[in-house]
Amino acid sequence: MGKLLEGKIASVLGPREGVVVNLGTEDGVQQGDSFLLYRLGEEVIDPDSKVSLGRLEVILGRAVVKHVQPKLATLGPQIRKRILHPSEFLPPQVVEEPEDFDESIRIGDLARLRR
Amino acid sequence: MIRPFAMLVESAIEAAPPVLDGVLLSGPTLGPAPQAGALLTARGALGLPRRGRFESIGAFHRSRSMASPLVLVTGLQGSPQDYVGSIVYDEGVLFRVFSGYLGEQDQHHVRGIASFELEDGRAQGFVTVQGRLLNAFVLGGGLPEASSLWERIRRLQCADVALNRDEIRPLPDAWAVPLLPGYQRRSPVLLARMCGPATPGVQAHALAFPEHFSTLEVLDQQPSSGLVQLELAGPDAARPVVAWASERTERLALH
Repeated sequence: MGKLLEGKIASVLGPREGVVVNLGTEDGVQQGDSFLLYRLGEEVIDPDSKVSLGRLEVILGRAVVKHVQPKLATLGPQIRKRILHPSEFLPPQVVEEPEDFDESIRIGDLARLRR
Repeated sequence: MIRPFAMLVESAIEAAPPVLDGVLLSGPTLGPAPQAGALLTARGALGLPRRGRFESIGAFHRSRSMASPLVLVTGLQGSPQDYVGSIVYDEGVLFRVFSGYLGEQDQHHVRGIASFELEDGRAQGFVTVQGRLLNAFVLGGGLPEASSLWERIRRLQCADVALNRDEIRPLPDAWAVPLLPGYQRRSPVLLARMCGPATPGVQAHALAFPEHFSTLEVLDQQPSSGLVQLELAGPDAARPVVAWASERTERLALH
């Protein structure tokens, strides 16, 4: 059970261009690492037990480290692979496309390293 | 016949003080404790199986309904909360599951050890019922290697709930979990809870009753709560109510 590495978005370059987070090589971030970008939303209540399950992490995007500096890292949208079956007579096709961030992403939103 | 060790995980906390990067699991158990260092498989409804090592079994922990042992497991990836709702068992043991819907009058809230009356014998395992959704699990003995649990079952009993085969509308070989509404992203995001470790990127089938199927993708699992977020793979008018991982997931190797 490794310790979670969490930081904040320090700059937004754009939903397709990327974001900058306040974590860098001094925190152990490496080029190619994956991050989840999110914001804390409403509290979720278990419908059976009525106990709070905690605040929902509203996912704003999934990102990959493109460039890393000692105290910050630049993240770009993750490339998403989709398998398409256009016809039962053709072999499936793998399509790769960048997964844009949510347009509402802003400075102060949260970033968590996924390993 | 050697009975395998298996646990339906009801609670999970990080071992404190940190011992070998371990997690303490608690819940109803079957079979004798494995030897220290034995490999265990942790399986959830929406992800690839994960691997850990049994270290020790300790004091009893009083959960909601019964006294359960505390088991120390090391080497499990992710957050302890990921494992709530998982089945942890001796590696190499055959795992069989089916889901089913119960009638309007048969709503229960049951989680625990169950006995199964099969066509040609009996078996022990676990059953969970949340509302009208039932999941049944059998580990190891009692069934031939290639057979499906649903095909062989006649009757099951868990606590004071007894159900015959004809009272269950089945999703054979599926481990389905109820879905809660989440929020709108590119397409609707749905939530699942108490479903064991999930793997981002895994495709899941989803069902909006009565017969409307769609596809979901696991986005992430919150380390603080174990909540799993899934996104509909395309626009869909009907909101799915249950989801389960596709067959492809089962064929992928342990990681």
